[in-house]
Amino acid sequence: MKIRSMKAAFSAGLILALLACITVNIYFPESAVRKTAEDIVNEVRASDKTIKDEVKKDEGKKSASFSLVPRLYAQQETEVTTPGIRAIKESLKGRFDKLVPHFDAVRLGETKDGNLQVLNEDGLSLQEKSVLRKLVKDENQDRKDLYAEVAKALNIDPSLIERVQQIFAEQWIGKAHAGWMIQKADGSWVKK
Amino acid sequence: MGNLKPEPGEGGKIRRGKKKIFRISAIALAAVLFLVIACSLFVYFHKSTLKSFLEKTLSKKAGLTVVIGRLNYRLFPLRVEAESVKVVFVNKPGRADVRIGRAEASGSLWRLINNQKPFFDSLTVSGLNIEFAEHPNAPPSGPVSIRDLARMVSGNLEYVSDLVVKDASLHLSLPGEGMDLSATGVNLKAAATDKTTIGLIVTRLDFRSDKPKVTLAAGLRCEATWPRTEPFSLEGTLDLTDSSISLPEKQWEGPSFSLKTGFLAGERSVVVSAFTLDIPDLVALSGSGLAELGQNAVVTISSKLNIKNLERAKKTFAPFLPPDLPAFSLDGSAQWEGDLRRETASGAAKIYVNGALHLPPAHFIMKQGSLSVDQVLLAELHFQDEPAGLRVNGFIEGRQGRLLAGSFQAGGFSFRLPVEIEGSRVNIPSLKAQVQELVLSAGNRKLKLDDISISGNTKLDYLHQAVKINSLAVDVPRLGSFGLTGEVGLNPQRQVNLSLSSRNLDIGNILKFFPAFVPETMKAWKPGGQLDLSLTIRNGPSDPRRYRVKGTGDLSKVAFQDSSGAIVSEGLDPRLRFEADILSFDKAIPFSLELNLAKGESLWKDAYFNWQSGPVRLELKGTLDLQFRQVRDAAAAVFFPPLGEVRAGGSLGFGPKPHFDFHLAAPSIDLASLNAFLGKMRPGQPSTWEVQGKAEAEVDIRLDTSFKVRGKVQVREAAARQKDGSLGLAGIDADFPFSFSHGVPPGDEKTDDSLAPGYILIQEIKTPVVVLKALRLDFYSTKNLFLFFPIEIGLWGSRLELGQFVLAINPVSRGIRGVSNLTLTGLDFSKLPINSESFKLAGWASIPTSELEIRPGEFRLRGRLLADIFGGRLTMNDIRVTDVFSAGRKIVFQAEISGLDLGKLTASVPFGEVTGIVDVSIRDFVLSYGQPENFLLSIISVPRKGVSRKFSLKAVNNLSVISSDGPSTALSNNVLTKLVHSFSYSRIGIACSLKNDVFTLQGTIVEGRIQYLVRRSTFFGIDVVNGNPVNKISFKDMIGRMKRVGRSQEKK
Repeated sequence: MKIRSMKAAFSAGLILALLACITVNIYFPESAVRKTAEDIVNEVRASDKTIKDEVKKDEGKKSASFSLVPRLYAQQETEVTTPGIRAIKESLKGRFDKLVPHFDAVRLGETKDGNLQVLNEDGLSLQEKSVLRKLVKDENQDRKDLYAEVAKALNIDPSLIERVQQIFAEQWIGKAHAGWMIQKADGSWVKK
Repeated sequence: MGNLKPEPGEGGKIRRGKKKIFRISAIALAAVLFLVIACSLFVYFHKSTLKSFLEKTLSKKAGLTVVIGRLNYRLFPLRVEAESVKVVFVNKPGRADVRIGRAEASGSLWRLINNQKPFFDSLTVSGLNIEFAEHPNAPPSGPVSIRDLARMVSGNLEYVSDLVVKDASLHLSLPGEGMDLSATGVNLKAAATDKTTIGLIVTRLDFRSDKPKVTLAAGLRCEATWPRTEPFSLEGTLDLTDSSISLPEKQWEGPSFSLKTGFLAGERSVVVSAFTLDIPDLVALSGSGLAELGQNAVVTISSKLNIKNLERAKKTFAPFLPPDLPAFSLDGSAQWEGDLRRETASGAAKIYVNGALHLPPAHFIMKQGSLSVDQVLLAELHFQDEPAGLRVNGFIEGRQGRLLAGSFQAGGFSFRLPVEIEGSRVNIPSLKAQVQELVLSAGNRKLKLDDISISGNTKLDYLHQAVKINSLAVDVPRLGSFGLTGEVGLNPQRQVNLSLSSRNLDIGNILKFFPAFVPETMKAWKPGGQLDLSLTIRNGPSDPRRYRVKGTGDLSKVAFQDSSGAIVSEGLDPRLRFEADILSFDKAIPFSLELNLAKGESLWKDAYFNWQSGPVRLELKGTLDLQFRQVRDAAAAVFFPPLGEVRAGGSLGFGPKPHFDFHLAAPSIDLASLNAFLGKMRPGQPSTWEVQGKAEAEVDIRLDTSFKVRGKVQVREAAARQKDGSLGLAGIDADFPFSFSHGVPPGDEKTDDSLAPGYILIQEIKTPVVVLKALRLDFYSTKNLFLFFPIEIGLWGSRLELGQFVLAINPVSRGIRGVSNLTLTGLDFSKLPINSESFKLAGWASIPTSELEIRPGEFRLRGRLLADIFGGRLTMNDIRVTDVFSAGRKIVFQAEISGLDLGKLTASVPFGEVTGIVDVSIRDFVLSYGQPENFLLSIISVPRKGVSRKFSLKAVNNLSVISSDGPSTALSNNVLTKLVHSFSYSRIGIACSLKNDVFTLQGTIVEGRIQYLVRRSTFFGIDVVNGNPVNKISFKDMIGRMKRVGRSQEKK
């Protein structure tokens, strides 16, 4: 009986020791990712008149108040960047104007995981559908590469790319125009 | 008496003579009278004498052998009694034996003596037994005449007023006629006055005939009357009771029945005024008849027939039904009312029928093999014989039917067939049928159709044994209408020639009707469009079991979309032709099929196909094996402009274990057309390539539990050029064999591991920076492996050698692994195209033979690149290229340059003169997207005797621009700079890094709190101080600074 008790105590101690040895420490710089996502999305959507107007309003507000670093926000470059991020941004910028008519026509929507999704192809010829699908396919491939590049630049573990995506999704959705389709957290689609 | 008158004078003599004569005569007469009386008395009292006399007289006069056992008589009144009389009569026809137990006759002697008929008032015979045996070779007796028979009876009855026969028996044996008749318990009464009347009762009558073999047993009661005077007519009744007929040959014992008739027979006719035939609980027949006898005999029967129980009747009369009739039961009754007329003319008989057959609703059940019918049947048919032939009008109706035939099942089956029969033709002018539920099964899958209606016009020709379908319309709600015409033979050849057609069938609805036959992955598809279907079915005269089915399907406005919308087609107008030979009960069906698709467009994910600009024609022949669910011996030809003609042969299985085993051959591929087609597949993204040339391909593809693809592509006289001129390939010839397989079990005989030789020859590879000529790469291909021969490339005066190498392909991950040796010798930097007026690179580079490892997405050189450059020695290690085939490919290496002569370097670049020797270290250099992504650079000066260490003013300024974004203000404001153009230094110590597009620049010479990039000599020279120890320059800023360095040179 005594030996059995000693065995149980020893086993419990061993398990506790093993558990104590397991340390999970994954670095995730959320604020940096959020800032990077905000910068990149702003830059990609720089040609968007609506966003420009928003930025101007924002600038007006900021210039009205005293600041030691006036206009810094508008002039600031993306802090986290790599050749890959720059190349992808250029690709995204070049595609955005082609996506806008489809956003306006409620054919596309911003998903909750930072991608685009074709929601409706009504009224399009097959040729036009092909063009739209290729646009979305390329856009999503670029975004996937972008998220990987950002994660890499910020030394984020690849297993956490999903969180990067979600933060970017907030930015894409935040910059979407009123009337564009966005996906809510529960998966449902609404017009912004 | 006048002659006896006496003559005169001789009167006395005469008188005496006369008296004497009278006396003698009287005596003689008295004697005679006495004798007569004596004889009469003798005969009267000595009866045996008369019996013998009679026996002898009858034997002598009539040829009879008569034996009378006992004879008794008396004369007044006349009465004769005879017992145990035996009469034997033998003549040519045969022998008759008549035995009479007792006969008793009473009459009048005077009528007998005076020959006044009838002699007897009555004759009673009991115990009569007549046996007549016909001689086997007796001459034919010919037809019996009723009249003669009646007259004979009447003639015999002239002698007796009343004849009574009691308890008689009769046996007639007519072997020549093949008949035998016996009657027992025969009682006969006959009387003849003005009319002859007979009444006959036979307790049991047995009749047997050999031609045909039939026996009849019955009780008989017959009464008949006919006049003694002309004209002859016989009237009477004939009843059969407790009768039965049997046919030994058919082993048939008929039911007991009774027959009652009343008849009137004339000299040449018989009228049956009424007859009734009754088989209890089975058949009741009543009617009348007329038979006109003679050479042109006519028999007419008017009757009412009631078959009370058809099922029992079928069982009772089963031997008379066709032997091959399927087993069935028919629970119901049937009634017939009408006339039957039989005419005989010139020996030929013809039957005319007029009447009506009525079949009240009867339950019909039939089961034969896999065929099962359960149906309520009713019918009404009117028969009318006309000079032109028999006409039948009426209808046959079926209700509440259920039909099962193998995998075919019809429920709620009803039909109505109005029929018009003329001679051998049955016309069904307006057939109507309904099927509430039709189910076709194939394995565990079912096709279900509801509320099918059928209408049409058909003819049945018994003479030619064929059914002709003039028109038959089958309407399936929500599916469409089908038209059927043609002929079906009923003869043993079973000739079939049918045409089925339908227009405007909704394809969407068709698939809705066939959900069980649609693959699971296609069930959520949204199909649309219309189908015009035309089908002919024929069987050959040589083998009626072999059916040939030919058809065309014209589809219009076909559209479909899968559940995700990834696969979409619109406006397709394909035309389908097919032909199949179907052998009954054979599950192998040879077929051919042709499909033309020249309109419409399709989308597969983002790939777009416009069939109008690239029409497709498919021809396919093969054998559909239903048992093993496969298409075998298939031979296909696809005509598709981008690929030319593609031929294929093999087998395709679509059962639980699908398989695909085909040999494909495309002998004439036009690469320009193929490139144009691929460009059209991406609207808005035209191909960036211009391609020319021809190619051909042969591929064996096998897919089952394993995967194997093996073949060869040959390219001839091809050329390819990027439209932006960045790359041009000319004079391409190639034989490219390949073999990939996965999961093939060892020892599979179809697995071919032999080496197949191949090569790729490119006469010219042209880029803006290099032109390569006649590059030929030879190789062998085998399963999942390429073995390349060594290749040598002349590049800017150097020789690049790639040793023999092996590439192994993982067919699952599609990853490529390989290993080789790489050697570079004699690369002269001055010949590199990067040289320009403002940048001159000099030196030599080489790569001693090193291992080149190829891994999925990565090339790695396990060796060093050595270069003599600007007086220094460059050693580059761990050179890797990752993400090789993506736009973001990365070039990674580590490098060291020892003894770099800054004088030589700055002479080649527009930086400004700097002299001195430095060691350079570059760690973790990464180039991606064509731009530096990461590095750690260190430059440290090393003293070398005889080499000055100086910075020109321009170099100082440019270093200042790079490090601090502006020229040195200290120098620009210093008057010395106007006199002195170079400054000596003692050390250089620079560390530079790039990460995440941020450069850092720091001096590694630290004195106190000051970082020096360049440290002056002890007494004179220049110090370049890093004013910002955490100097960070963005990539964009650095590019701007570098540009300014360049621009300053241009201005100069």
